[in-house]
Amino acid sequence: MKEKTYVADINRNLYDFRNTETVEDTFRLEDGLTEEIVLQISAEKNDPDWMREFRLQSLETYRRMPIQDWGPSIEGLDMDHIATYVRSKTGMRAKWSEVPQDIRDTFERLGIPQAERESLAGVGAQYDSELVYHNVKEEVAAQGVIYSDLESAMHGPMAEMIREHFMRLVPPSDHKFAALHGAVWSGGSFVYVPKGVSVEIPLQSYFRLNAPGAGQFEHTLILVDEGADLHFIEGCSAPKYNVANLHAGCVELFVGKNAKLRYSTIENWSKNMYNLNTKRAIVEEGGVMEWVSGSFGSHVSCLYPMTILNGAGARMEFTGITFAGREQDLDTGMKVVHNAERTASVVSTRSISKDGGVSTFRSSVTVTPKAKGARASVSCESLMLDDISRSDTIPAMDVRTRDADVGHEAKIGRISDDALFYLMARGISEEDARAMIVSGFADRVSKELPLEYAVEMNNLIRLEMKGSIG
Amino acid sequence: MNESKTRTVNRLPVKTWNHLKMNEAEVALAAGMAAGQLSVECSGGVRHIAGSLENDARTDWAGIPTGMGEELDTALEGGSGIDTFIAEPFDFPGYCSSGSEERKQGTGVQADGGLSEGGSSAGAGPASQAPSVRMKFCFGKNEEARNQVFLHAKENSTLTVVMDFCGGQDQTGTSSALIRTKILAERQSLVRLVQIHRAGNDRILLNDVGAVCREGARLEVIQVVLSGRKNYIGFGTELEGNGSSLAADVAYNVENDHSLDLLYRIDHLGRHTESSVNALGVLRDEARKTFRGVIDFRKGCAGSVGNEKEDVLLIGEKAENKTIPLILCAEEDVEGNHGATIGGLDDAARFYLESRGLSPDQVTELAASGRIASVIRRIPDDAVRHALLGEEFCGKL
Repeated sequence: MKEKTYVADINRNLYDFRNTETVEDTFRLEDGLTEEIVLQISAEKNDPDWMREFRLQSLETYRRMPIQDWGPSIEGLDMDHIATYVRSKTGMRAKWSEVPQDIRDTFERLGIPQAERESLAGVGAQYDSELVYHNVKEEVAAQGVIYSDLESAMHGPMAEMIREHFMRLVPPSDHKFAALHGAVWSGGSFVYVPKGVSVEIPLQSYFRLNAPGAGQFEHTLILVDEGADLHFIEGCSAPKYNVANLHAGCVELFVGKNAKLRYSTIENWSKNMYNLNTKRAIVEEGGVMEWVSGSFGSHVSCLYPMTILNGAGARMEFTGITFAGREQDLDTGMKVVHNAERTASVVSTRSISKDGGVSTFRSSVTVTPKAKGARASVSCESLMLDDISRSDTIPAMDVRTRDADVGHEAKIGRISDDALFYLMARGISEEDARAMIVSGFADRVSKELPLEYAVEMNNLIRLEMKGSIG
Repeated sequence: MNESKTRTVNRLPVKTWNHLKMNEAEVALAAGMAAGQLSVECSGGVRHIAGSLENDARTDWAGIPTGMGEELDTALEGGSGIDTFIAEPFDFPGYCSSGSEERKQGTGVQADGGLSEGGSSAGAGPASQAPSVRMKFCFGKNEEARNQVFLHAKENSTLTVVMDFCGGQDQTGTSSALIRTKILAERQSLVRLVQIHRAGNDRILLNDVGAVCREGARLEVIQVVLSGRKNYIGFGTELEGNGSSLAADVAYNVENDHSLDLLYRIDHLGRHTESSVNALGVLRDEARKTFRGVIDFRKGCAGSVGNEKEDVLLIGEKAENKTIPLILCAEEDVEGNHGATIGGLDDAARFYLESRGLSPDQVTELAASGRIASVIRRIPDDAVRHALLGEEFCGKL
């Protein structure tokens, strides 16, 4: 008879601290979603006319669209009890010393200023609905790289470019929460990397949702021009509350001819969070898009970064890991559309389910008739750590040209008894052996992350496995 | 012309993006379908009850779910067009009279064969002959046909069933046929099911199968799709008993603007159950095909293994292939694998064959015929296998 083991829940002390907000500290719009609220947000942001109209049209689209009839249940999410806009009463700063003490403490504990000092070319830090800090290293700015909050950029010289690209890849009609995003978006980043410029060290945006019962709707718009190269890192977390929080951000990435963009995410939202995020990239001729995605937190996640390979020879790599524990239903995966000749995609994902968590890998690979010579390879592996969890795999492939090569493989299973026995026979405790095996299982993802993040991810896994033998 | 009603079939148990149009299929079926023409040959002591189910309250046929789902139930309502076949253990002392039968279903007219009480007849051959049934469904021109077949393999029995869905290639006018087959494989029984789709270029054929395998039972399935304007196969199996297993081999060749819609759903319920679904296909011209595979590891099926694989050769310039192989898992101690390869012929294989003097077209045909023939060669019925390899398939090359 095989012994069942207990795998401890994640130790979230690092992320679960919270600041108690007072009316004096923050400005918070009333809960719910009305035209008045949307207009108030628009006024707060000093939107140009087109953006105000865009928000109102998105609101109409939101009202018209049904909630998706697939994926995890989002019944616990009641928009009437979500505040769509909460901000600190202090504005955005370019120096950490000018950021209010309590907010600065939050980001200090998350290690953001230290990371900026040591290994980043620029940082944006968003607290609830607004950025509180934004800075980019002088030498990077001198290369012509623009990294700013989206609102400022919309009123500067890049205004026309933003209007041209904003929610063109993810139109509000894409799904109900994309429409919601179009109506109430706030915060986020704008990045433009000029032709031929290679940004040697990464830029990072960190999103922290501190307010209970609130939503965060940041918009990230990145344009990497012809022959340019960028690594962008996104991190997110929140303390846990007893009420539902919502994250419905949107990321739009434009990768130019022969350009390269790596987009890394470590998501560790609290377990009261509905993470209904939308990410999409379009890649032109010879361009390369690389996604590295780690999903550890949230109560419910629906996250499927999509890539449209629109130019001949464009390539995409997706490496992802999902760790679903107690109270978590994480529905993650990816989508790719091969829409040009000789395009290629490689997808490798790992998912781990434990302690009643539900992990679903959902994907779609579409090869259009134009994509002659397309190559696609999808590999997903799932690990079940107990018999009260779930792990589902739902991969779809739609191939419409004979001159394509599409491969898919998936595996699901448990920690091998043989591997466990091998390690324990060499004097390693069962707990450590299990942690080693799970870390090894996740190795393909962690080695794609910058060192600091790989260490953090491995620590998360080790903490998850701590005390796992019962 | 009868009024038609649109029905949803081959529904995935878990939905995904609706815009992909893979969650289910819709098909319009004529109201008031009649029992189709069927000829039957039994041997090896298989008991055949024509026109009704067996009179055994312990057998819950309604409780056996099928791949296409309950929405087809109303299309099958009515007493006619039902045939039940029962296999007793191989060394069962009775049922050794010989004969075959042919009749118009629903009329109750028996052509020949030794009748016993309740319209049941005993199968042909000595007791040493393996229990088997050959059924040939001959669909008439403009005929809307429906039949139900119930296969009951009793404990320790063996049953081989060949179902040939055929119609003339020269038929004109569209018509549809719905065949539902339910299988109950009792403890330690073995059921081999062979189904051949060659119903003609204008036929819409729905082949709906549901099976339950009890402890130690094994179901071996071979399905070959050779023609048909629109073919639908819904295959559902519950591996209910510990140690039960399913092996399904599927081959299809779809051409012109024809379509094929498949669902294979295997529910692992018992401990140490095993399943494998292997599909090999060829899509020519403007053919369209959707393959849905579902391996569902239910809680409690510890020690189970499930594998599904599809290999699609796209020959047609405008052929369209959709594949969605699901693994659903609520049990820790299981092993599930699925794989799919979709595309044209591998460059290395093409080079190898062309360098030996074959033309590009010959290489393509060789690859296409090879994969279909590899499944046909597994058919356990010699006569059917030889006929298919000789007439239907290789004769084209």
